[in-house]
Amino acid sequence: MVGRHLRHNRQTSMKNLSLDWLAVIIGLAVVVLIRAGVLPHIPW
Amino acid sequence: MNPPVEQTSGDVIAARPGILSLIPGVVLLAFLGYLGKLTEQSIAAYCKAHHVALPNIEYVLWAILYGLTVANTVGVPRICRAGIETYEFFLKIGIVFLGVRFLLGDVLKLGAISLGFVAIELAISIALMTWLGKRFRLSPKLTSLLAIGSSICGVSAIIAAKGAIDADDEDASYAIGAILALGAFSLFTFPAIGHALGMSDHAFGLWVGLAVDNTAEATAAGALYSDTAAKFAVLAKTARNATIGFVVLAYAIYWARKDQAQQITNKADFLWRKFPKFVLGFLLISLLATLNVFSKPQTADIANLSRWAFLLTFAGVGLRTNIRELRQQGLRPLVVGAAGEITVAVVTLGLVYGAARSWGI
Repeated sequence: MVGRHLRHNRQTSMKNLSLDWLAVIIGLAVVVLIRAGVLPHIPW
Repeated sequence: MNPPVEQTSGDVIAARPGILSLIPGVVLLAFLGYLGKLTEQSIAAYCKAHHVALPNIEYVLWAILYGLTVANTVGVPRICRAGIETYEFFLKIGIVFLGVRFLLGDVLKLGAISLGFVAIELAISIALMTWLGKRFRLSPKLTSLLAIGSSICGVSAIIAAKGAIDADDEDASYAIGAILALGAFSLFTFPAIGHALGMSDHAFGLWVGLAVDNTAEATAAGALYSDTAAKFAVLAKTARNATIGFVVLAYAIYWARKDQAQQITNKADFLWRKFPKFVLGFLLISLLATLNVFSKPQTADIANLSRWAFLLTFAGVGLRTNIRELRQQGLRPLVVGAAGEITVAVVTLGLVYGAARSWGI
């Protein structure tokens, strides 16, 4: 598990696509779709 | 040669063969998370039908327990491992969606209070960890990593700091192991303490957000208490995460002055790279909600998406907790970490109580 974190950390500098930005971009895109009424009701 | 400093707190999509390789793990996260939700609903339905009064065990705990059981019995299948790492993405997107449940004014008010507490917590934690590290003869850099991990935000902070202060892999492993072990422990102790003290949802959420190290564990511990507590735990934890760059920068400068880490030439760039960007998404959606951009059903839909994302996160928390590996991390870093954590928990509890009285939060 710890090794996995460290391996993951080393791999991070290999690609620039940040998980943070991905979460922001996809999150906002989904919110826009909900606002536009494109997505159906999401129950819990 | 020092390792590159550009390792970010906002972890990155690692080199992977392709998005298809993520699917089995994501399916496993969704399956265990949904199983947790079904278990809670089934028990509640049974109790209602048979007029049995049992304490309600939230889906959060079931999802974590199912994940723990799989990881520590049959083990996580190799095909699922890449996808399970995405639990961190689901945590971040869940926090972005959670912004819809806050008005920006509340975010700024509670965020400012949280930041004030973080400053106090940070000073105490660093002083205490430094003293304990010397006392237990830990290496100075391991002590720094433990102080950063316990005062700011757990594993992400340690990973961000490791590159910046040029710490050994072994030290980082010890610090991460200690923080993860303590995070798993806090999942079960914090809600019990909160109930014993009769804490309000707001106060408990704030306390958990300030005292529990990893964002996933802080969210889960809050959700184990109540939905509202989870909301406030995320807010406080997010405020804490936002300070990561400043703390890591301070440590990087400290070690660079001792010629044991590389110099930071552009501090503003360093701070921006370490800043958790998902906080911006959270703030933006909170701003849109404040401006009444969403109708009531749309707000509910976005809040539900946040819950679904957290559901997968909680299953991931269980799946990545390997009890045997945690045991192998050695006792001394764990003892230092635990002593620091307990102190931070007690101090932040006092701060939250004081704030509850003064500002009525």
